[in-house]
Amino acid sequence: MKRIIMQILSFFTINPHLKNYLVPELYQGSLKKICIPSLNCWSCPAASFSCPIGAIQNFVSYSKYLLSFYTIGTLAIVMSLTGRFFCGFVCPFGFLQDIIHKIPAKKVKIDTNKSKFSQYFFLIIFVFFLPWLTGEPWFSKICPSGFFLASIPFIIADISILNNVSYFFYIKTVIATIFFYSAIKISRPFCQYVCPIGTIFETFRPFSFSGIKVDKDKCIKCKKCFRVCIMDASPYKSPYNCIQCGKCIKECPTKALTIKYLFYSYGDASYEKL
Amino acid sequence: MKSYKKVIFLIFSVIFILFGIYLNEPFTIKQIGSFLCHGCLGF
Repeated sequence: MKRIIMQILSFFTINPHLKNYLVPELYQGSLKKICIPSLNCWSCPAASFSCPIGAIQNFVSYSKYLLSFYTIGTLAIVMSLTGRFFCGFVCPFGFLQDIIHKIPAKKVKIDTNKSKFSQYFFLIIFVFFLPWLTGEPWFSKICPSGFFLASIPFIIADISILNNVSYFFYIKTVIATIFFYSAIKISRPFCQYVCPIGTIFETFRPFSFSGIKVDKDKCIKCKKCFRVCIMDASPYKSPYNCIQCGKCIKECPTKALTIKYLFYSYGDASYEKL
Repeated sequence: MKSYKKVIFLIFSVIFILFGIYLNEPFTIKQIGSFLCHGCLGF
C-alpha cells in the first residue's frame, strides 16, 4: 500500500470525531486510556487516543514513581516489534509535515546524525526536567502539534477565544510559524530535531526486531539513500532516525539495503546481521 | 544485538505495561485533560 494512503487512513482512524471540530469539544471516552505511539495532540477535538508525551509529563509531575510504566512500556513494545513504522506510516504530525514540505521552495538537506543533541535536549529538559521541577507540561507548551491540531480548530470554531489567550499563546504562535517555514525547506524538521517520541524510539533501537540494514559489501557509498531520505538520515552510515519509509530501497543502485518489519523483509540484502 | 537480549527487552516491555495497568495508569491518562489542555492549546 502506498505510504500516503496509509497516512490518510491512519489520520482518520486516530481522529474520527470530526464533528467535534464544529462544536468544538473534546472526546473523553474510554479510548483516551490508550496512548497511540505517535504525536497526536490529546487536545485535538477529533482525537480518540492520548498523546504519550503528555502522559509522560503528567506522571513526571505528579506520580511518586516519576515514570509512566504503561506509556514507556507501550513505546518500548512498539519499537521492539515494528521499529519506527508508526513514525513513517501513521503519525498525523509527520503526515502534516510531509504535506507542508510539498510546497515548492529551495530544499535544504542536513545530515540528521547531527540532530542527536537537539533531540535529547528537548526530551530531557522539556519532557522530564521542567515538568518535574514545576508541575507544568512544558513540552506541550511549545509543541507545534498542539497549535495546528488543537489551537487552530478551537479558534476557527470560536474566534472569541482570542480575547482570553495568555502571552504563551503568542509564543506558541511564533514557534509554530518558525516550524512551518522550516518544514517547507527541511523535510520533517520536528521529527529530525525535536520529537521526543522519536528520541525514545531511537533509545530503544538496539533492541528492535525491525529496522534497516546495510550490506556493507554491496554498498558503494553513492549517498543516493541520503538524497531521497525524508528524515535526512544516512542509512549507509547508521540507521539513526530511519523511519522505514522504504524510499531508499527503491533508489539503491546495488540493492544493498533491506528493511525488516518483524517477519516481513523489504529489499535484497541478507538480514542475518541486524 | 543478540536476539535473546531483544526478547528479554520485549518481556520487560510487557511487564512495564502490566505494572502500569496495575497502577491504574490508563485511567489517569484518560483524566489528564485538565493538566494538558492549557499547555497544548496555549489558552
